[in-house]
Amino acid sequence: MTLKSYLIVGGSAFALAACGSPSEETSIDDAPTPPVEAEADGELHPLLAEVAAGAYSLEKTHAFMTVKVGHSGGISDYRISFTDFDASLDFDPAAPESSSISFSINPAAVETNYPGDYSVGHADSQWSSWNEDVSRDAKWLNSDAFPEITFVSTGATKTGDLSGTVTGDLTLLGVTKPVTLNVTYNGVANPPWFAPRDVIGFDADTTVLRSDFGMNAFIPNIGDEVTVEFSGEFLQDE
Amino acid sequence: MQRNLTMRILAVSASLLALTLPAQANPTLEGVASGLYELEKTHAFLTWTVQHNGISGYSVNFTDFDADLVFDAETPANSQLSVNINPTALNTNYPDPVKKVEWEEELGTDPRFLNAGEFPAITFTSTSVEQTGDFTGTVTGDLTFLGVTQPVTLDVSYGGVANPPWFGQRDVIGFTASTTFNRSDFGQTSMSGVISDAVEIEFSGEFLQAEE
Repeated sequence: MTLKSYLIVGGSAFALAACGSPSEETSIDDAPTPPVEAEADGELHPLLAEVAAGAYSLEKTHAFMTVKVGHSGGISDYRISFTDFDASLDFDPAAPESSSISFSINPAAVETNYPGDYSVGHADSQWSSWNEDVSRDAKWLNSDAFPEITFVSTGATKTGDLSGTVTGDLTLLGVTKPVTLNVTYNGVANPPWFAPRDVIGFDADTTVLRSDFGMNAFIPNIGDEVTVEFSGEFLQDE
Repeated sequence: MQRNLTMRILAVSASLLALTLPAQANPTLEGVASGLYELEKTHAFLTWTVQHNGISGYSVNFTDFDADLVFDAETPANSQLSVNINPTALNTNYPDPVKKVEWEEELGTDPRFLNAGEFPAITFTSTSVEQTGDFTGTVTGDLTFLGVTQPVTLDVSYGGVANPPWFGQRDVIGFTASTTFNRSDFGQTSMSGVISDAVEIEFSGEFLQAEE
């Protein structure tokens, strides 16, 4: 069983589940993991071998972006997810370092998972929720004045068979600075409802200083260093 | 009114004082109170991640959980932890708002997933704690999920202590913890070709010393 056919079978089951069909569960035996060997000279890594080159777009139902920042001097990590973002990827499996990517993030769409009713304990706040405070307050993401966060790659390097870095311009709060992402390529899937388009998955992370973008509120009680984590999938354009 | 204003000025002053205090040498266990702590729910995050189609991490947050910690600052290995999680309170960050509600409901209640109708709580009760470094350790305990109880070991880092003025004399201590277990050990094998057996758990959060 090839990797692709294994994922197609698996993908069908997921489709049934995700759509909430009154389905019987499809029984799937664990398929043997396909061999993943180091790249031979002149040959692509098996996880890159059958992947289409060209334009991909973010598959938004399988994409997560979370920022972590130390709280109370770093005794815990505070976590905020962006819930509305998009990305376009031009991917070349034969020369991943020549790929390019751009992200657009809506700073008005954040999820802090704040428990309970924010307004009860924050009667003086001009914001109705903590999510809104983080999004709109001028000391945080100030999304009314700066309604978009963008990242546009300027270069990429390959650091291993399936890993690399992507450097680009991050624009946050109207300030543009270079930022480098550490990226891992995880492989390709071919769910049948997207056939014959490829779906490829990546993990990425980086660390930025928010003070570099002029966001200085409550440093160091709330950390200057912000870690950004992404894991998600990209669907080959039609 | 006057009192209200005074209180407000005091509160603001206290906030500013807290924010301008020099960062203390943290993490430290020195001076940290031993005894009962409760989860400070506004600074607590619990996320589970499974691999989807082997190519990306699918991350879901639990949004309603509680924990009690009996902390022994002198001998952390004597500490005890119990956690209670509501499996119906999930945030998938699914992009479509209507489907988001349906999908979270399905994840929480479908017998293939968290099956909360039959098993309305996920619990963890520590059975032993081991200190592995100045501020690191492991917490082993019984995880009860889908009605099955299995031992699970958390890797834990102690992040330090804070004393925000609005909590008075009470200490706030922070931790980060993670573990990985196989969902099949708890009888969940649905969609095993698509969703990984391994489930990664990440916690970061704060515990507030209980009032006497």
